[in-house]
Amino acid sequence: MNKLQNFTKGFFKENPVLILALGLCPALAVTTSIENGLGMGMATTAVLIGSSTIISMLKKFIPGNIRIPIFIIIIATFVTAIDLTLQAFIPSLSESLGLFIPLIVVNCIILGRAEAFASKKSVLNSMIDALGMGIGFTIALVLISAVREFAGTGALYGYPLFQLMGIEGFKGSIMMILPPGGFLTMGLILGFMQWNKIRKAKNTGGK
Amino acid sequence: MGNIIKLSSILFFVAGIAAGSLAYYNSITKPAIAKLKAANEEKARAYVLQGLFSEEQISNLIYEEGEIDLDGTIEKFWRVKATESGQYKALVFLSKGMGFSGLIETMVGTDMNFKINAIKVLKHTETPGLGAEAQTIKYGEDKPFFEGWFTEKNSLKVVVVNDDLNSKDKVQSITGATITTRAICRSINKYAELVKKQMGNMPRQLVIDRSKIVAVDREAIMKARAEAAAKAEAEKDTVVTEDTPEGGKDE
Repeated sequence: MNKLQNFTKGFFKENPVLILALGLCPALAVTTSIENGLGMGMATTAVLIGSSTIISMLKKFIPGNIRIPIFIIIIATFVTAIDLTLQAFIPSLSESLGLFIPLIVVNCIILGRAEAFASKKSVLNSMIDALGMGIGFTIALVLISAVREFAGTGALYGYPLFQLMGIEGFKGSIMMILPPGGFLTMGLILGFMQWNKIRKAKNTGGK
Repeated sequence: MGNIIKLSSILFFVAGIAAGSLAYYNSITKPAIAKLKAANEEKARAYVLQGLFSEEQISNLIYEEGEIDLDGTIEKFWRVKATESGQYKALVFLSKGMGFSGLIETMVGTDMNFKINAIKVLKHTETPGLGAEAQTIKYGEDKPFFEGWFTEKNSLKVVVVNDDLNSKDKVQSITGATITTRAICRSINKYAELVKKQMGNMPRQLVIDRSKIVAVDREAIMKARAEAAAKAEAEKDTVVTEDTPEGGKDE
């Protein structure tokens, strides 16, 4: 697998949320608006790159028996650092993501990539993989949150489209912003991805 | 056995490095976070005092800190004046109360008669689309629509319209989030009451000079004052804290 493929596989082919079904909790919890989804995606990407790089660098020194606790320590360190950074320098984002930042520690994408990729591959490849996966995660979050924000409030990234077009009286469905809307949206998008995959496989199989 | 010691020492070593680097990073960010928090509080205080003071006064107001005792925890409030020799013109306090799903913190600015000048919801964990609307700024507006409802209301008596239809100090409730609105009203009532009690202990000069407030419609104001006095008389013996709204509802 070359580096470009390694980089882009996380976007759609092996998208952590939509295909690998990892990190579903944050994908459900924070995707009430594009702004939140984007912020969470970027924070996770930063943690992912940091932890994957360090873990890949240290892979020879980490004994197999205790690799998981060590991974968790490294990840938790990065998450705490990101949390402090956001609080100190980007307070608005820190406020809106609040509780979910510390929860990146238990986001299975990060541990999953550490276990499945960074602990086996070279440093450069791990960084590329982490960046790709992070972007894939961000894409998935933005996709889900765009649907939810639009259906829930009629806005996209805070801009009320209907009002901007001069259409008055649009009321969003609040359910879409609440957890049920998250499940619904995620289920439909995951279903669509699978349907598309099966359809493609059938087409190529037929030829 | 040897293996266990080796593994634990590695784990200990890794955890030590992690803790050390975090401690260092914390020491870098701590002042920035504290500064930001103080600046935010200052900004919120200035925000709720808009209109009571002129633009230039607001940037260097004199705050005098007072303390209120809330079941053992000490909370702060501030009396505000524009110049060293001037009269205290405003009160600011940060009221806290449990909303639908967590603590709601609201900065409240009032004049010396506890009439609300402005409020600002600083912190909440309410449901997006419902209670969270308290902080939502509609597109094209510069502040949350919710805040405006509280202007000119008496902070001691402000109540959700569902609880007391006849009150002068009723506010609408956010659609689908009466609990949030009610929680904010009650926290304001409670803190205002405590601040008022505390004010009673303050020297005489701090009580507002009434001649300065009224000037416009004297008759209406006299009438309103008589009404308020009558109402205060009626409520004298009831405990004016969280129970007031229900009292109105039962009638």
